[in-house]
Amino acid sequence: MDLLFSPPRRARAIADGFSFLFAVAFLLALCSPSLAQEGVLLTVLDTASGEPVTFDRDALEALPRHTVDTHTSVTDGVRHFEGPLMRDVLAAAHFSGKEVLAIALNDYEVTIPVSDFERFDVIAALEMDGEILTARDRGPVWIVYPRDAHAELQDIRFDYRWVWQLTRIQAP
Amino acid sequence: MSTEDFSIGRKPAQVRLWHYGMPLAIVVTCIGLLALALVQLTDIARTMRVDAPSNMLWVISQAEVEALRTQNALTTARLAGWDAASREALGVRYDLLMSRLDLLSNGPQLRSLAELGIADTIVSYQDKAKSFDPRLKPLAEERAPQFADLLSGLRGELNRSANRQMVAGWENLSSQFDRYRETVSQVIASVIGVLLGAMLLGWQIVSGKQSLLRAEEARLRTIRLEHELKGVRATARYYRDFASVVSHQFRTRLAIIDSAAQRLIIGGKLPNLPALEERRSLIRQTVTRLTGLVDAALMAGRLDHGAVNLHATVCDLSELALDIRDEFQRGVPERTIAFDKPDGPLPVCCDPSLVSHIIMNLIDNALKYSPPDRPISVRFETADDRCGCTISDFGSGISDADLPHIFDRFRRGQDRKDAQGAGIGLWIARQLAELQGGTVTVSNKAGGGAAFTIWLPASARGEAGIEDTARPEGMRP
Repeated sequence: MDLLFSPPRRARAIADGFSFLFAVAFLLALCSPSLAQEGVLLTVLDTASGEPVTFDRDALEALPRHTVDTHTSVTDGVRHFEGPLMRDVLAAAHFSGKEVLAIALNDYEVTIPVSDFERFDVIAALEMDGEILTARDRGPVWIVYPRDAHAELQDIRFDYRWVWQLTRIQAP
Repeated sequence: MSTEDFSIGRKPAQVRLWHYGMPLAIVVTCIGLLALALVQLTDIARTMRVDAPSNMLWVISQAEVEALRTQNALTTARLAGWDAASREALGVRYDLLMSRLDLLSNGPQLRSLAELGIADTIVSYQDKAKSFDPRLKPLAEERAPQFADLLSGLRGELNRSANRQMVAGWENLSSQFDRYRETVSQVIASVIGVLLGAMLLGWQIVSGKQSLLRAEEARLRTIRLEHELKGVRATARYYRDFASVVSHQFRTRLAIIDSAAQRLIIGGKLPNLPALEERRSLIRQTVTRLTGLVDAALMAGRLDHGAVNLHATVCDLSELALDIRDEFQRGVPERTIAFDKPDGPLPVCCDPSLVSHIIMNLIDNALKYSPPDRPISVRFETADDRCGCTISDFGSGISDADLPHIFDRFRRGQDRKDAQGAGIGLWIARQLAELQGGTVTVSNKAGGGAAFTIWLPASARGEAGIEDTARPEGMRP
């Protein structure tokens, strides 16, 4: 399996060179604003090794891709989502806790039982209706439950676990 | 009011309506009420969920927070002289603010804002904010004040939206609770209705059972009354028959006496002595029978009213019978009354006068039904703890058809119609014997004729002729 999660040192190197990359990204943004902030999309802390594991878009897309067609609580109609399964992401990061604390870009955080990802095919959606999710909508990573396939998921107690703009996962 | 009470004086259609129509109406009503309650509860279950618009206050406040953070990032960038880090931080805040505005201007969120009347305002702010996209054109000091004003205005609008949303939310929640309360009240009313219906049904079933019970009691009472009526009718018939038979017998005997008296003087002169003696004898015999008939009638009446007094003693049955036989023999010297004297005395507990009456009756009966030239016999037997005196005749016997009824009242053998009697002698004989703990039985003899036996309880004293005031066991009062 071609996992491209980055070792910590490399992450730091990227962070050090961020100013330079920002200039390049800014130029790219003129053509593709949604990809302007590309780099590390998701960081998983409290892994088995104790070291943070980061995922960029390539690393997430390298994981087996799943699709979910479902209504959501904040949009109209059935939407088509694509992305890796949450349980695959956690396995790739060697996260072994019973619960995760999912944190969004705007510091929204919620605790989710890992059993959710085992019982249901919950995905870390990267695309909606063929469009890449960005920080200007509900991306780059949106936790999406197969809401239409399971009646019990059509409940506010699951709706608030649909963390969008997911940026970090750690133990609660 | 019971079912029976209701039924009284009402037409069958009304009774049917009460017995069948009303329970059916109750059941249908109860089912209807339960169905209504079910629909209402289902409705509650369906609406008892929190939907996304309930979360609008949070969404709006988060947008306001992002507007504030963006405003802060803008201030920081201006103070930092628009360095790269502050520009980057401002870019991130701008993205997040735009994501919030994007959320507000889509789907159910936009509809909620429309209900609050501020959808267009927010969309207009979103459009204006797009012109400050730092990815398209880096923000600089000259455009910063306009962007800051835009953010202030946006915050103000979002704040007002939050207020309106809060009020609308409480209004909505309260009206939702009102609806729940109303529905729950209706369900409670339905349940009470069903309970009342069940109680009404139960009451109707119980009252139905009660009226069935009353009807059963009335039926039994009717049967008892009918039985009593039958008894009264039988008694009335008996007395009618009794009067008829007795008066007939009286008239017959009086006619005999009258005829004999008329023939005392024939053609103005007395008949000769033998003829006179014959007529005198006939008159006396007839008077004797008439007296016997009166005695029997009186005895029957006393038996019917339980007015027969017992004077029980221990006496010798054979001696008693011998006295009666001798008396009869004197009365009818031309007839032969054989007497088979037992070896010893036969002490029995009895009322001697009643036993005499029975034996006289049986001997008289035997004389009546036996041909004049044939004898009758009196003999004795003992069995277990009783003694019997049998009077046999040599008549035609009793037919098999008559035998079971020979002791019935007014019963006389079909083939003995020619004989005289009211048909109460044998009945009285048996009644009197039973009164003393004994009985009278009958059988046809092998050689022809009938044999009547009076059975009486044997006395343990074994001493005849001694007065015994104590009533022997088995003797009825």
